[in-house]
Amino acid sequence: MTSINPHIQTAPNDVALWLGEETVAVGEESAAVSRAFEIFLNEYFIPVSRDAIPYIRFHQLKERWEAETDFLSSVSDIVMHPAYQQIIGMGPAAIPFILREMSIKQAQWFWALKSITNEDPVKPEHRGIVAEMSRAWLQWGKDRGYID
Amino acid sequence: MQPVGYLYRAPMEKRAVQARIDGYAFNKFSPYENWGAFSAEAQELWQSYVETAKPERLKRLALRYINRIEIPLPIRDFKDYLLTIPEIAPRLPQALSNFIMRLVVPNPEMEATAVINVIMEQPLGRQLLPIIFDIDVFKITNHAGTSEEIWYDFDQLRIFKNEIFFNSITDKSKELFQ
Repeated sequence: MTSINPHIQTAPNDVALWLGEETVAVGEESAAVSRAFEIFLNEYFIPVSRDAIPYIRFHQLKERWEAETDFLSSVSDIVMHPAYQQIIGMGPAAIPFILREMSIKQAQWFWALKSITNEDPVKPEHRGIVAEMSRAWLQWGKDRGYID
Repeated sequence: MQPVGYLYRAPMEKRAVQARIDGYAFNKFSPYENWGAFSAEAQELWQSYVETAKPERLKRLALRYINRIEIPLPIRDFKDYLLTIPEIAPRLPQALSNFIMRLVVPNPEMEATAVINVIMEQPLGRQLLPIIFDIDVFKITNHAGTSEEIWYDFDQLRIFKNEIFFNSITDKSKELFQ
């Protein structure tokens, strides 16, 4: 990336990133503060006691996962995100919600579905082709009555 | 997303500098060493920023220290470690499983303000309870872009920050930082 300032020399391990208009939490502690206030705000609208309802829990986790992985390109970083792992932890209750999401928007749901179901309906020749993988999983969901 | 500047990160040295259209920030991640080394590097990079961005007026100066205190469990009373914490009415149950507290403290003498966030995170196993003690002290100014007065202001802000920090932690907490 081109430096805007010839006097700010970046060391070999330095990383230069574009800064967006959104606030950047640049350290772990700073991210913890951002996260705490985000949870606080979410709980203002959706009381914490409703967290036990699977639909609400799934959407809270999904929103957090999407917001915090939006800028990531590594699939392993995306699927290792704590919110994604908590969706896997919801077990079979999450399957219809994941499939419904998948039918609306393509995203990296394959790892979660494989982890929860211990199945993989994707043909070997379609691995890596997101549209085909999604199609295979949606058909799998229809066959098992998870979605219409 | 509209870009507003650059973030330069030096992961090995745990520091970053933000050169933004609307400002400049120098970040140092844990472990924090000392004010002398921190401010010297911040000043050096600030000079580079001034030469390039040529700021006309400096509207806001701020120092933010986000401390993470890991309190060993079990604890009898939070006040054994931290004195700036939420107070529960004495007739209510005193146990807390989570809290988030935000205080805005003006300092008319310095014409500065502190925003203090105290947050309890989830315990790390059964041994440690992380508390985030976040102190953001700032001052609204109207200095010229090249003004040297900002360094005096930063020293004052640091004094204010230290007053808050050292009057909020106990000797037991200080031991955790050693």
